[in-house]
Amino acid sequence: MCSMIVAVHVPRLPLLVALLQARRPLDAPVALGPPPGAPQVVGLCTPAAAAQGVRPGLRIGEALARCPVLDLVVADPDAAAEAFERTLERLEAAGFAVEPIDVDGAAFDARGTLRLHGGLDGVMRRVRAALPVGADGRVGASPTLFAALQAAREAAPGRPLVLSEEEVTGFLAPLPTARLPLAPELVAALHDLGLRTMGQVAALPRAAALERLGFPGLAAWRLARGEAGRPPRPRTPPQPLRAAIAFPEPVGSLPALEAAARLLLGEVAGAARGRGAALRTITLRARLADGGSWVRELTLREATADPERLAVAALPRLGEIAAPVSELWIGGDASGAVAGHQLTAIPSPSQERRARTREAIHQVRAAQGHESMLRVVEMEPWSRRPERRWALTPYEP
Amino acid sequence: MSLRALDVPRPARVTCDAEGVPRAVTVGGRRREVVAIRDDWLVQDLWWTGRPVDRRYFELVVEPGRVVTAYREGDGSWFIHSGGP
Repeated sequence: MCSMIVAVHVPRLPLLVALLQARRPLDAPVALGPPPGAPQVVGLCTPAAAAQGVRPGLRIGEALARCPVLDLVVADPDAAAEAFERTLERLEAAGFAVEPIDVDGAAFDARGTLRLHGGLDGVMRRVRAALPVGADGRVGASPTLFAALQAAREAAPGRPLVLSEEEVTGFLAPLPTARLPLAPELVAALHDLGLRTMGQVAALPRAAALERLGFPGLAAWRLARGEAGRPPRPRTPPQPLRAAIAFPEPVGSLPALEAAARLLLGEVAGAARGRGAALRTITLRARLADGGSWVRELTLREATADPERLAVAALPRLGEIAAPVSELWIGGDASGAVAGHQLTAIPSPSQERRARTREAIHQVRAAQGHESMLRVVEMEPWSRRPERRWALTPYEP
Repeated sequence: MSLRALDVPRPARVTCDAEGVPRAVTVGGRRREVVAIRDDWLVQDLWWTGRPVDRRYFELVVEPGRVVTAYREGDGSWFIHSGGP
C-alpha cells in the first residue's frame, strides 16, 4: 500500500487566540498589530477586515485608510503555540503520529490508521474534528509529504483536498516557487531566471537544476516533479508534567491546600522520575471560587525530583492565596538532569521506614485499588457544616 | 484526583412536632426516637452565589443514646450526616 500523508494547516490560529483574549467578535474588522519593535505592518486579519481591502503585510497607515474602523489586537505567540499544541494532542489522541511543521501545520502518515477510522474519509473527519473551531483549519492529503502540505494550504476551509498519485504533478505545477523549501536567495535566483511556478522548475533538465541551484535546488526540483521526499518524522508525544485536583467545595484552609499540593507534587515528581528527569521550575495555579485565578512560578535552585524538596519550595507560597480555591494545579518543567547528586551510603532509619511504608502502600493499592489507603485531612474543622470539616485524601507516607 | 468530603449528608425522614422540633428520625427504614436536643443552629451562607445554603441544624441524641446531626433545608427536606442511626 502506498503511503497517504495527511497534512493540516491552521493559518488563523494566532488571530483567533488574540481575538478571544481581547474579547473581540470574530466578525468584526480586526487585524493583528505588529509586535514591539517590528515593522509597522498589520498581520492576519478577519474576513470583515479583508473585505475592506486589509491584507497581511499592509502598512498600518494604509490599512486604517482602507478600513477606518479597523481594530488592532496584540498577538500572543505563546498562547497561540499552546493552542496549537492542544490541537496536536487531539490528533495524537486519535491515534495519529504527527510531525509539527512550522508553527501552524502538521502532517502524519495515515496508513496505519485507515482501518481504525474506517478509511480516509473517517481519518479526515477525525482530523477536522481535532482542529480548533473558527481558526480556518484546512486539511490536505497526498502520497507525498510536500504535496500534502501544499494541498492543505490550497484546500478550502472544511473541505479536505485529497490528491491521488497521478494528480500531484498537475496540482503542484501552478504553485509559486516561493513555496519550495529553498533559501530566499535561491528563490530569487529562480525568479531571475523567469521561473515563477513549480511547473516551470519541474520542466528543467535535471542537470540544469543541479548546475544552477546545487543540491538544495535538485531536491526542490524533485519535489516540484511530485517525487516523494522524506516521510513525516513523528514527534514523541510530550508528557507534560502537570497534575490538578478539583475540590468538591471551595477550600480556604491552608492545611487542606497543603495536603492537596503534596499529592500533586508527589504525582509530578513521580512522573519526572519516570522520565529520568528532574524539575527545574514548578508552577502553582489556583482557580479561585470567585472566578479569578492565582499563579506563582518558582525556579528551583537545583533541579530535583524529590517531592519533599519540592514541597519545601512550594508549600509556603500557598499561604499567599487570598480566597477559597476550587481547583489547584501544579505543573513543572522536567528539563533538569537527575545525575550529579551525592548518594547516601547508609539510609537513615526514618528513610528506611518511609521507603518500606511506601512500598507496602503501593502493594496494598495494587491489590485493593487506589481508594484503599486514605487519610483524613482537616479542611475547615471550625465549620458549622460537618461535611466541610474533614476530607479523605490518598495516603502518602 | 480529588479530595473526598467526609460526613456527607444523606436524605432522612424526620418526624417533627407542631413547632418543627424533631421527635423521631428514620433512616434506612429504622426509626429512632429523639431523646434530647443538644444544640441547634442556623447556617445561612453563600447567599451571594447561585447555590445558597439555608439550613437549620439540630444535634440530636437518639435512642439508644447516639448523637446525630440533622438539618432541615429551606425547602423543608431533611438530611442527616453519615454518623446517623
